[in-house]
Amino acid sequence: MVDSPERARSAVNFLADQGVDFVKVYNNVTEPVLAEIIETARQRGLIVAEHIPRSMMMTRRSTLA
Amino acid sequence: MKSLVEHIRVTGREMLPIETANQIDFLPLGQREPLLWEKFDLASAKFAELIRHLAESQVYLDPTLTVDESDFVLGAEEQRKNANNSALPLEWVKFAESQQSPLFEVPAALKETARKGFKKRKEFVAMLRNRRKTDGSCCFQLRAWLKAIIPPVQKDSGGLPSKPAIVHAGFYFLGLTHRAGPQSIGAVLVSIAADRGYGQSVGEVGGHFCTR
Repeated sequence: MVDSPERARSAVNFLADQGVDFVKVYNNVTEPVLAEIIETARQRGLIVAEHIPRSMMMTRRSTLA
Repeated sequence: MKSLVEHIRVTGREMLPIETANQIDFLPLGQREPLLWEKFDLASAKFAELIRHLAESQVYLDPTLTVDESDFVLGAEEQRKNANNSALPLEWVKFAESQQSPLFEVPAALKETARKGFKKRKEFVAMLRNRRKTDGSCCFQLRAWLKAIIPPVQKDSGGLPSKPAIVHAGFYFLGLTHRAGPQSIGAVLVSIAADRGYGQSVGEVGGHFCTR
C-alpha cells in the first residue's frame, strides 16, 4: 500500500528498476502521494496514467503537472 | 514526460451547490454520473474554469468515451450487436459482460438521463478540443485511448470499442496504449474504422503512449 510520499517514491523507483513502461495509479491515493509519484516518475522518465484520486477534484488535479 | 488522466471525472462538489452535491456525489457510479451530468451547466463559469485549468496544465486527458458509452448508453445486448464489436471474438464480449459491477449499473429510471448525460460529456470533450484548436498556447492534449476490454489478461473494467462515440466528439485515433495485445486489437479497430469510412482519422496504433 502506497500511503506516504516516501513509499510512493520507493514504489516508483522499484517499478522503474524493473523496466516498466509506465505507472498506473488508481483512485485511493492522497494528493501528496500522487504528487510524489508524478515527480519520481518524471525523474525516471516514466509516464503516469491515472484515475483522479477520490480526494481530489478534476480542477485541482489539473494543477499537478 | 507528462501524466495522463483517464476518465472525465467531474464531481458535484466542484460544480454544484454543496447541498445538491452531497446528495449525489456519494451514490454508486451508475446513479451518480447520470444525475450529475443532468445538472451540470457546460456554459457555467465553473466549467470554463475547469477547461482553462486543463488547457494550461501539462496533463493529458483521456476522456474514455468508449467506457462512458458502454456504462451509460449501451446495454449488454446492444454492445453485442454493435457493428464495431462484430469483429471481436464472442469470448471477449462474454468476458466484458462478466466484468460488470452492480456499482456501474444504471437504474432503468435513469437510462434516458444517462443517455443525455453522455451527449453532454461529448459536448464537454468538444469544448476542450475547441479550446486547444483556438489557443495555440494550450498544453493539454486529448488522447483517444481506446480503453477496450482485452481478455483474458485485462482485468480492468472498460467499454467495448465504439468508434462513433469518439468520432462524434471530433477525435482522431492516435493510439491504443494497452500493453497487452495492443497490436491485435488495434488491427481490428483500425480495420473497422477503415470499413466505416473513418480511414482518414486512423492514426498510429502502437504499444506506447503518443507524446507531443
